[in-house]
Amino acid sequence: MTEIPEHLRKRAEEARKKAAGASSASASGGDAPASSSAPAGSAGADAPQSEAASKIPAHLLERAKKARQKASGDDGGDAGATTTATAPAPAAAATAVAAAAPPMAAGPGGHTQRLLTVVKSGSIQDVKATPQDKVHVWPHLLAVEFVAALLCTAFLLIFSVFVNAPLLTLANTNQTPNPRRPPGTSSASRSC
Amino acid sequence: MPNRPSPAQRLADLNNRVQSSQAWNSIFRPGSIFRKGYTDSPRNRSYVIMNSVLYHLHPVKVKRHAVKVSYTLCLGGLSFFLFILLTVTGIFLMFFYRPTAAQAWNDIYTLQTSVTFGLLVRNMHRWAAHLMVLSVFLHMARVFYHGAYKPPREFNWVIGVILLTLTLLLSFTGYLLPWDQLALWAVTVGTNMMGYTPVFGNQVRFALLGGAEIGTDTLLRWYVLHVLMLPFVIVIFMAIHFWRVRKDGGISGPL
Repeated sequence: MTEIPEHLRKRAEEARKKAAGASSASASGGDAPASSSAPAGSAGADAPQSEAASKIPAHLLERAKKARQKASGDDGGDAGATTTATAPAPAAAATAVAAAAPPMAAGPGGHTQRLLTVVKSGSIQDVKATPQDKVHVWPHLLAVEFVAALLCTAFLLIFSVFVNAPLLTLANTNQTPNPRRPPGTSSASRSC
Repeated sequence: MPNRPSPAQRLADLNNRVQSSQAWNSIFRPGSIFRKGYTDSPRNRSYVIMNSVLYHLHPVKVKRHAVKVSYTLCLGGLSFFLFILLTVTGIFLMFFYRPTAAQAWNDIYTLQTSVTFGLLVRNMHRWAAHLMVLSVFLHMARVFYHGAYKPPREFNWVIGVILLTLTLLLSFTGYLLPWDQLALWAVTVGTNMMGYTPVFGNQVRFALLGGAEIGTDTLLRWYVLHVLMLPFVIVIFMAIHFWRVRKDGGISGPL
């Protein structure tokens, strides 16, 4: 899902550019709807295009072609007149739909749906497409934790058996525990 | 004459009846390995976590890297485990200890010489305390070097620092309780240093000692701090800490 909008956006941009170019070129001519409905087929220079088109049965493509021809023959002039330079494709397509049978393969990908807008990935929803590798806490984590706790207890127990906590003589505020001097550091030897 | 059931059959029958009883089924919730017809299924693995008051600190599933055995494994968990161990051994010690200057040292001495396992439990309490300071510090170092203090975990980092401080305070207050020469003079040095706190130095020292110098009042004060107040506060912060670990997306991953 994260990748589709990017590729759709590119394709739609291409189609829009192509449609704008075609409609401005043929603004005076009568075949605007034909060229505006063409982006589906004509934008498909890249690989996925042909794949999408191949999914449509041949007889339907034939029927769509006929309908398109019929529409361009009947209402070509009107559609061309309503077309402007800013929004040529949708307006022309809408006229064609109103006038004739619903055109098949009218969308940029050879689909019948029209692309309304493309939401860039991450702008509204943060979709995480990559599935995470997860494991059950029981038994995997709990077993590890149990072993860690057991080892900790064992270490502590064994250490406590062999090493005693210090307990010096009773507290005596009159006797500070001055550190014993190491041998050879008496005041006499220090003076040397 | 009808066949008498064999001892094995009787045992199986008894086992079946016990496992079908209402008492058994209300104690051992779904997912327990002691329930009748237990199987190792994803559903039961989830139930083990969801139906246990202790285990449900965990999510049902964790990322695979969380169970990878490494040298920083479970430091936070071990800190908590050591806290539990310290509580248990500490309660044992409380049965034999009176926090007065006249009795404290004698009580500890008697505990070591006359109480069964007294010396062992005291040793464990002492070394577990040292180990807890170490494990909390190492846990903090792990979090720091993994950059796990960064958002969204910055709040939990602050809670963690408070927990470290509380651990150190627990360790320090416990140091005085044996009331021997080591305790007395270590605390004398510590509180003298606190006396040099700017502006409120004397007041801080007075409040800590419960008087002008170390005595029975200090011992009682630090005892209450050690066995009641600080554990109470640390438990609250631990609860927030564990809760935030879950809320912030579980254990942080490798960089």
